[in-house]
Amino acid sequence: MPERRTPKGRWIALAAVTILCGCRTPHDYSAYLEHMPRSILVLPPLNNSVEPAAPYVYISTVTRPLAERGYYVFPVAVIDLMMKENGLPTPGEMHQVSLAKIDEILGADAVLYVTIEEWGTEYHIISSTTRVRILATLVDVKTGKTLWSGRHSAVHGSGGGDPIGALIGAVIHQMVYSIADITDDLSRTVNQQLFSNSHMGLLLGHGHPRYEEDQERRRRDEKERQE
Amino acid sequence: MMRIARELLLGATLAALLVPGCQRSLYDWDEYEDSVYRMYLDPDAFDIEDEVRRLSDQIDETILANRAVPPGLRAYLGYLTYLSGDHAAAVAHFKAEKKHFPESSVFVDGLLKRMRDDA
Repeated sequence: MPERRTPKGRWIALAAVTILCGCRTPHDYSAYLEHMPRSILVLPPLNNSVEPAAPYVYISTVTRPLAERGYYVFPVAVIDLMMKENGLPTPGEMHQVSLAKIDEILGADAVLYVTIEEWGTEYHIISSTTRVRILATLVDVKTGKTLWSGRHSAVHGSGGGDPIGALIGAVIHQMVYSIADITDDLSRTVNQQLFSNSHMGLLLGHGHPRYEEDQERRRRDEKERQE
Repeated sequence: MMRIARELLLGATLAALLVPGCQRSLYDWDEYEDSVYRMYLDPDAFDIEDEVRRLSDQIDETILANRAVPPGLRAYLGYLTYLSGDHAAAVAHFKAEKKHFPESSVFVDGLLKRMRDDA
C-alpha cells in the first residue's frame, strides 16, 4: 500500500496547533513600529457617498479618537482652510499633495487618508437603516510606506417588526433623532472601533500613558510573528 | 462585626475609585469639535467672535482644572482670532500651541511667518 504523504497524526497535530494559535493571523505592525509617528495629519476625506456634507461631519469627529490614542493631531479646519487658500479646493486635490510638500510645510510624521465609502440612510417600508463606512490608510511621510490601513462600518437601524408599532416608533424616532445626529454618532462609533481595536487598530501614540508598555508588547508580538 | 463590614466596604470603594482602568480622557474636548461642526454645517450661525469667546473660556477652565488642552485647539482658536482681526492674540495662541505641542513647530512657524509677511 503506498504511503500517505502526510500521516494522520501530523494532520491532527497541525489542526491542534492552528486552534491553539487562534484563527486570526496576527496583524503585521512591523512598518508601523519602525516608523512610529508622533503626529498625524488628517486630510478632509474623499467622498464616495451621496451625502455632500459627509466629509465635514466626518472631520469634526476624527480628532478626538486619534488624540486620545496618543497622537498630535493637526487642527483639521485650519489645514482645510489653508489648503483651500492655496489652490486646493477639494479633498481630491488635497490628497494629491506630495509627502515632501507636507513634510516641508507641516512637519507631520504621518498622513491619514480617509475615504467615505458609505454614508446615508436607506428607507424601507417601516424601517430605515443608516450606515457609515470608511476606509483609512496611515502613510509615513518620510518614506511613503503604508503603516496601517483599516476599513470599518457602523449601522443604525430603526423600525421593523410589528407594522403599527414600528410605524409609530419610526415617526417618533425621526422626530427625536435627525439623520445628522445619527451619522455624527455613527462616525464617532466607526472611528472608535476602527482606531482602538486592540488587534488591528492604531498603536498607542507617544502621548498615551501606556505608550511604553504597548510598544514593548507589540515589539514582542512582532518578533514572535516573524519567528 | 458591622464596623468591620463598613470599613471593608469603604476600603473596597476607595480601591475601586483608584483602579487605573477607570481612565479619564487625556484631554478636555468640550466645544472643540462642536465648533468645527458648526463652522462647516451651520456657517450662517457661525459667529467668529462668539466661537473665540467660547473656546477661550474653555481653555481657561481646562487650565484651572489642571487638565490638558487638546492638540490643535489653540491653533484653531488662533486661526479664528486671526480671522476676527486680532493678530496679536492670534500670534499668542499659535505660540502656545507650539509650546505645548512641539510636534506642531514646523506648522506654527510657517503660520507665524506667513502672518508677518502679510502684515
